[in-house]
Amino acid sequence: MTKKVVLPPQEGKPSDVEEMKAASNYLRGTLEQSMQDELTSGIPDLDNRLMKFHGSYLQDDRDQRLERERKKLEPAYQFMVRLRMPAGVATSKQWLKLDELADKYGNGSIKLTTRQTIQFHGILKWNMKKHMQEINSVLLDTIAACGDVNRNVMCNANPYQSNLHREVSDIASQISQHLLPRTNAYYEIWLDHEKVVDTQEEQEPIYGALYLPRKFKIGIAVPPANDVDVFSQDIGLIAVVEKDELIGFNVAIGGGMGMTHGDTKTYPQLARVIGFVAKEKIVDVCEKIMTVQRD
Amino acid sequence: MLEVNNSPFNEKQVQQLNELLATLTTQQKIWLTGFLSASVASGTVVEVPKATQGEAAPIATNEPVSKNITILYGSQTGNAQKLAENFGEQLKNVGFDVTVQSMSDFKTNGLKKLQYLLVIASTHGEGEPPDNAISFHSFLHGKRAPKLEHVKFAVLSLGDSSYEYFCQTGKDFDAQLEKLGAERIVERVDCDLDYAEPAEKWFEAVKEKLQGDSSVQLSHQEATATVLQETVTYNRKNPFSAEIIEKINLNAEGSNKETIHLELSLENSGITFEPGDSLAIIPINNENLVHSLISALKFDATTNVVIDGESITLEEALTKVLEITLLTKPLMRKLADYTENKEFHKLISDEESVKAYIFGRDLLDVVETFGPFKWDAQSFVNLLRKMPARQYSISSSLSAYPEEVHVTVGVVRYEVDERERLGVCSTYIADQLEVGDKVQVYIQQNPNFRLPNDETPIIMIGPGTGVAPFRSFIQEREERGATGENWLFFGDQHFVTDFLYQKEWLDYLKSGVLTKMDVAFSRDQPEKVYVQHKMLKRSAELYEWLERGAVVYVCGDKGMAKDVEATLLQIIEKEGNKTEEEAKEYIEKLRSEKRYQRDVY
Ligand SMILES: Cc1cc2nc3c(=O)[nH]c(=O)nc-3n(C[C@H](O)[C@H](O)[C@H](O)COP(=O)(O)OP(=O)(O)OC[C@H]3O[C@@H](n4cnc5c(N)ncnc54)[C@H](O)[C@@H]3O)c2cc1C
Ligand SMILES: Cc1cc2nc3c(=O)[nH]c(=O)nc-3n(C[C@H](O)[C@H](O)[C@H](O)COP(=O)(O)O)c2cc1C
Repeated sequence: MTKKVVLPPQEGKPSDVEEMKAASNYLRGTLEQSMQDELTSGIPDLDNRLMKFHGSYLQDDRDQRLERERKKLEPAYQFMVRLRMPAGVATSKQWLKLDELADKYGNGSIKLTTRQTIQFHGILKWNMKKHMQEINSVLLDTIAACGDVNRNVMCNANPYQSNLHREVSDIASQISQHLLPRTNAYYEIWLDHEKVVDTQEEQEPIYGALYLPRKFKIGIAVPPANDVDVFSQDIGLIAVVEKDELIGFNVAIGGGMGMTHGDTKTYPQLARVIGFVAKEKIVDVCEKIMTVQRD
Repeated sequence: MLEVNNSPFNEKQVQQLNELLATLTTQQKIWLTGFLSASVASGTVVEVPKATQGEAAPIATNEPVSKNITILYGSQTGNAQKLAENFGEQLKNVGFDVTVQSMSDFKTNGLKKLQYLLVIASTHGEGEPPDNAISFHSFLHGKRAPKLEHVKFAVLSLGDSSYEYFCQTGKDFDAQLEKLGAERIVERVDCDLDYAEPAEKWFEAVKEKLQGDSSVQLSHQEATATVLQETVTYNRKNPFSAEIIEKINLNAEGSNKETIHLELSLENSGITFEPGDSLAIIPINNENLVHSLISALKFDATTNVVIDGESITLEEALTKVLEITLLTKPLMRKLADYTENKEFHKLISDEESVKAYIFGRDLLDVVETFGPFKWDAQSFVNLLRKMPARQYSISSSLSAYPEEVHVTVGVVRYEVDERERLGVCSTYIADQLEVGDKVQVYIQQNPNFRLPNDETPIIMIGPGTGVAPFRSFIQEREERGATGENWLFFGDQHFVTDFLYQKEWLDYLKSGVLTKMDVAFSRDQPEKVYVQHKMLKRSAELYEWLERGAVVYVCGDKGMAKDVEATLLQIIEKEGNKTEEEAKEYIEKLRSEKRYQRDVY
């Protein structure tokens, strides 16, 4: 029998970010209005925090800050947009689109990130919706690419290396898909989907209204390679292969744990292996581990 | 004014003396002084001689003067209005019964009772009447205009000979009054930008006619007396030297535009102004252009020339005193007297081709292309106009920035025949002046562009530098704690680089001083979007504001102002369920109630 551990109540009140999340009505906030405000190319702070859950946030060009201030202009605001690309896979058709978008709305650059996805910079507010729509037109999206949710799920870079690698890559996509926020907000705000009439009905069965306290990272390694740096993840999965067949994963947990610089009560943990899970159950296990962090 | 405590007279005497003195001409006063001292000296009471000389001293007849004079002005930027008021005052001082009115305030049924009509009108747009003359102008030219055989009139026109339709409005009034049967007492005078002298001459002629010939001398003295009374104000002839305390290019890197925000110190000048007024800046010509011109002319820069009786070097004359950039048709005709160049004569014999040629070109082009001309430095400078001052809508309020004046200057640069052309004043400010330098300025009042009372809502439409006076309006309204709502329409090319004063507007919106703001950035999307498109989008609300008594202000480019007016008509038609005719009347009514005011250039 395992003994149930009751955690002591948290000190202090929930952070203002939590309040913001609670008030955001499942990641909507006033984003829609803010995106339509033609007088500023920025958005209010609170909306910008929500924006992260949509895979984007507002930046400004620091080099121009002082000069623009003097010219009585607001900072040169622009959005960074990060894709959700489980296992870092894009088809050639998708890639060509991304390449086009980098010039069309962005500043001409595509950045490859350490979490196997790509991000665009320099997108103006007025172009954000078109940009998001064109990304979605090739069946890619940016949901949960930033923000306090499960982030891009990493694994081996080349699914064509072997059948095994392909299967692992597919599992990465399944985990990513399963751990997506369920809110309709993304589709309403960016893709003009019809509004959910009563958001009471809309629920986040996994996340709840407050989502996670911090970002959450999952990576899968197929030995002998450890290209995803499996012990640096919140959940590290190490593929277990028998007779060329994937049977399951050794599961390691640890991670950044919401480390805050300068606060010694927070510290990162190198992941530790806690056991083996069969491949059929891996999606569910990832969910359950993540909800521990949520709570 | 005599008072009980500054004179030996009692209250009744003071009153009587003041009344009498106010009606006396200088000559009468001089005569009276002599008369009284003589009678005191001789100790005898001299009998007052019977009124003499008839018309020369109308007051002495003790009868009210029967000539009543109406001065109507049509004025946009206040020049004609100031002249009208000044002349009216002078005529009153010699005892005439004078009414001075804006044409828009004049009731046309009063035409029947007119006796003497003096019209002082400027021209705006492309040969169009100023806003406050539009309805009177069209009334006189319409079917309902009555016969005016009982009226004696004279017209003074203000204009600028660089415009194709020079003094057109004055010419229109002059011809139409004659056509309606009125009798011209003095020939019309068309004034160029330096209008003070010719206007004064016209007035002297008019006054002479009104008073009869024997009073010429008298009226002359009167005129000088009035001029002396005026307090020292800064003007074209006597500008204030203001120090630049801040200079900022408001456009960010990558913009096609260059808009200079300039702050000047008015410390110790005593200068005041109201929101809506303009600042006139007297520029100097670009040094390089002056040198190129002098060498193309093959003159010596140090040759002396005489201007206004003063001897200065040619270089100084061309740099500081004379206009050497703008070509006008009258100037081209004058230049033709100094050459036999066939091409040149052919060019100016055709109205269209000369018009096309002078657009965007300058004297250097003419000299280089058609020279040599047969002139010496003196006869050359004799052909040129004085450098006109440039006006800039003031973009600050004295209550917000005491002893300062801010302007917002769009810099003019363009290329013709592969030579870069520089707007004289705007590039003087942009390229030649720095913080700490001084610049020659004076205030140009704009009585036709004024804030209403504090409760009235206002709609301000000012794309580009047209936004300047609205910065002044908003500052003023904030300082006054005015409760009226404020709605601003702004536009320019690009949001990121050209949103003039963006942070200030955002702050005013946050604090509620600015109620609403709509912006149009024409080049941020494939299709062009301008302020008038944004107005149409807000059509219903805009009409609702109008119905609530809002005042509409339009400032900036002429072409824009036309489009905005067409859009206003469209909105009034649509939202008010009106015919085109009714919508036009609605706008005319707004205009006559001073609820539609424009400052366009
Ligand atoms: C009441 C009033 C208020 C004003 N307020 C403002 C204000 O707030 N801000 C402001 O910036 N200006 C304002 N102006 C305009 C201003 O007075 C000057 O006319 C303007 O600054 C240009 O002056 P400049 O000496 O630089 O150019 P100029 O040397 O006078 O040259 C201007 C001329 O150059 C020619 N030109 C310009 N562009 C081209 C081209 N592309 N091709 C060919 N020819 C061309 C045109 O003939 C034009 O008239 C106002 C004018 C008035 C009457
Ligand atoms: C925008 C604008 C347009 C003008 N158009 C003409 C014109 O077509 N013909 C002309 O003779 N003068 C024109 N002028 C010159 C004015 O008539 C001149 O400046 C006059 O002194 C203004 O007098 P006001 O202040 O009484 O309006 C124009 C001036 C401005 C500012």
